[in-house]
Amino acid sequence: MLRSNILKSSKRLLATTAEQSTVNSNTEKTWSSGSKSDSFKAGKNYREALLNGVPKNGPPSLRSRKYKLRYTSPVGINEAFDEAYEFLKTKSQNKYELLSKETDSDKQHQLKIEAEINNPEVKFNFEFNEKLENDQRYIDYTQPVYRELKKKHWENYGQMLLMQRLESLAVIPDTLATLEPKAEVSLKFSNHTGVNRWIEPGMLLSSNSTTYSPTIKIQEFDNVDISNELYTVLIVNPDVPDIEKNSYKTQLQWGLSNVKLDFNDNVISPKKLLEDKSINEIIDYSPPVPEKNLPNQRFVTWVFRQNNVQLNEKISTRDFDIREFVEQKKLLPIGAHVWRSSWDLNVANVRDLYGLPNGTVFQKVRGKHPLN
Amino acid sequence: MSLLTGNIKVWRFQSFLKSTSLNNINNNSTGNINGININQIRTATKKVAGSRTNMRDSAGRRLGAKVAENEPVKIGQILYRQRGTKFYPGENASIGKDHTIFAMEPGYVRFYMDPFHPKRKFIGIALKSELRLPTPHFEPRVRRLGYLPIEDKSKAQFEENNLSRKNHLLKPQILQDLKQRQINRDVLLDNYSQKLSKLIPNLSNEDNKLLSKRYLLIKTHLQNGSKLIESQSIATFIYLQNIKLNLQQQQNSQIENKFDELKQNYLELIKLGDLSISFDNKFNLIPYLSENDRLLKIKELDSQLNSIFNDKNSNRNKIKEQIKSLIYNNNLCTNTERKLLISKYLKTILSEPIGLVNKSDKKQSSISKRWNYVKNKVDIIARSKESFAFK
Amino acid sequence: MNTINSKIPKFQSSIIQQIRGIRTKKSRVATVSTGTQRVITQLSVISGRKKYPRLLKLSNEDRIRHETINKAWSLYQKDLRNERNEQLELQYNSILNALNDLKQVDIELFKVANKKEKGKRFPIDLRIPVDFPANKVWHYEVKSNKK
Repeated sequence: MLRSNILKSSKRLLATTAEQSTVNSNTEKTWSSGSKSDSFKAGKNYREALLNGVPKNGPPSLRSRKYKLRYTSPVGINEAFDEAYEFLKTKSQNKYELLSKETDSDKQHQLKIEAEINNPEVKFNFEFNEKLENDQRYIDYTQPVYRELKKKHWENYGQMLLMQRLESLAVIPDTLATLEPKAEVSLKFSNHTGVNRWIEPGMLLSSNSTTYSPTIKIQEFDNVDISNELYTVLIVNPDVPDIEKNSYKTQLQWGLSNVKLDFNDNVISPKKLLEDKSINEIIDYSPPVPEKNLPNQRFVTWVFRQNNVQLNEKISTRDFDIREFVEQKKLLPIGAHVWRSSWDLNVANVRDLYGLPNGTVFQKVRGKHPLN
Repeated sequence: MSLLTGNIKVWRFQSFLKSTSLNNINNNSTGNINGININQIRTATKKVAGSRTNMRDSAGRRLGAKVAENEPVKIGQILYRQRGTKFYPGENASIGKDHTIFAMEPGYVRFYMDPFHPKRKFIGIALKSELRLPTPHFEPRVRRLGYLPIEDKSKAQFEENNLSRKNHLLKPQILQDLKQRQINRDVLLDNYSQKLSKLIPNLSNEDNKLLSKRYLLIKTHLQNGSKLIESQSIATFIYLQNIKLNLQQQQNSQIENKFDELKQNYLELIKLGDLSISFDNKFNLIPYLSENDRLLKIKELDSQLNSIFNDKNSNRNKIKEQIKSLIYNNNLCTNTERKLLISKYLKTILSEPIGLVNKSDKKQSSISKRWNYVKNKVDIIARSKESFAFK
Repeated sequence: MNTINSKIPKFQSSIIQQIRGIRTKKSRVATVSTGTQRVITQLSVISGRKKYPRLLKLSNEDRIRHETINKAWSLYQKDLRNERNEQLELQYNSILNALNDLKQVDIELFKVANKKEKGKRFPIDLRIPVDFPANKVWHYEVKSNKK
């Protein structure tokens, strides 16, 4: 915010020039009395500056001393903020009073969101902390307000990206008819390669990285009874060549059911698979082993709510009709993810490891013979 | 009535003219009959030259449909020639630069409308004769594979080894890199196994190998930012998956029992390992140290540094060297902790109020200038010897 | 304009150092007198580039504080709007009820009350309810000063 002397002399620019902030640290600000959780409080380094104004030695969010000293708050922001805070606080107080009388679960959920959504500390916590791998001290997804904020954040980019990939890669309608996304599904392969990176939907992955089963994170946003809800995860490949029919068929690569999740602890990781005995593996993981000279194969992860019904079935054959399965088991699709694989030099090693037969090599040029 | 008589008069006059001109035709082209002068004109009966827009019509361009509904077509066959897009290409059809519609797949021709584009007409190819177009919106697409497997084994082998130019050129480098990485890994593995045999003396060779491999994998995960517990479980998971796959391939009759036995052994082994081994800050193996113990050690280091730093009797330069070596050679502190220690004990100038003197003061040993952002001017800062921790 | 032109600095050729057509040494400051600098400053202040204030650069804390203020302001405006709308609705309903009553009591009076007066855009005889009503409601004889 360093300005030259020329600019400082201009009256027009006075609107942007600085004010020496006066910190009244003796008045402790608290949000309405209903707001009890510690996750509604900003980190201790920032709380003071956020609620009582940026102190003389600069905002704590700036790291460098140079920029801290240069920084000046806009004129009148402290007074305006104090007024605004009081105003929003009374509104929140009203919501908490309504909440104490409310009995309907959905309305309670809505009121809990409305009571905290304008809390500047909540906003600060959400904006400036890691959202995907969240620290529960700052972003606690058991609180409806943080789920609501995350949902909006996801709808702004992640959800749109996912739907665009699902449509343009024709995942819908090739696997299931359509998807109304309700939960965010993230996926990564943390395995022998050591790579620790969430995968963007539609990415083309090497056969080496997909040798072992993926880690899947399912973030629920809705007001579901999470302690009783069970989830099913299916990974299907709709691009397995069917030479007899001169077409493609769908295979089930991995299937899990009876997965219990939590709003915060919601990763299906190797750790969870080793420890959680209640998870039913419908079929064990089979890695992508695409054939040479065929187009890229899509590997689609579908996540379903089981509606509190146990699903203890095991499947031995990989050939799979996902539409029929979903209809039979009355599963509700809530999220999806997709990655792609193509043949590479390492496919033979993966086949070796899993004891799979050698891959078929196809002719380079696509034939002209019609579909029966 | 008057109109009729008038017409008769004209007709009479014309017939009179005709008769007189015919009589005189041989003598003279112009005649003077009863005082009326007549000029004879012969108009052209043949056209001499064409007009500007004449003769400019081209031959018919043979536009229109080249196939009928439900007619079987091959790939690339032309379905419709047109100017502009009277028809749009539908499923399995495409459009050329002169808007010619042609088939992309072998199948049966369909002329159809699509509710998603109510004003357009489409020509598409149904892959089967019984299929209608457009395919229902929520149904899976009907797809033709088209690729045939290479039956001849040697040819198949050849095709499998056949790489694109780019990959072919890259391959030697990739193999070289892989080899180098394997060598590096082997060196580390060797290092770990030696360390393990020291830390856990009565460990069999096999177990030593297993554990050192495990710690190598954990190390990579830690380096990439995973948490220790997570990395440990990933290593366990991958080992168990590997032995499971190995047993499945052996087609042993007692796979389950064997697997359980191996699993049990491994779990016991790693329990022993994880309780006697930790990583230091450079990912070397050290005897087990819980997080609390580590923090205690860092605290000890801090107090040790503090006492050295405040030692008035020794040479300051020597003290600086000592502190440096203590901080940089410590293998337990994280990067942040190290930075904190450096800023605490290795700063030349002590924090501000210490040793600040008045400009005119004679005790001053140095003067420096600094920009004051608040007052927008240069501050002159005078320091006495006290404010310098080291020279 | 002439005065300004005369004050625009003339650079001394010896100070401007050029290598292959590119100036390598800035010497403008040295050649400009304080008076000229004042003119330059004034010109630059009225230039188009500075017709609007600079964007505020806010720290994370101040950004959230700013957003909170905006949110509170918009909610406050919303409350005012709702209050006004409610008031209007109540007024409308009471007029409606009164007219309905009138219709039942005396249809003739109702018709008179709802008679359309052609050419009348705003009822001049409308009186605002005040604590001390004027004796003379409208000064019909007042004319504008224009001739």
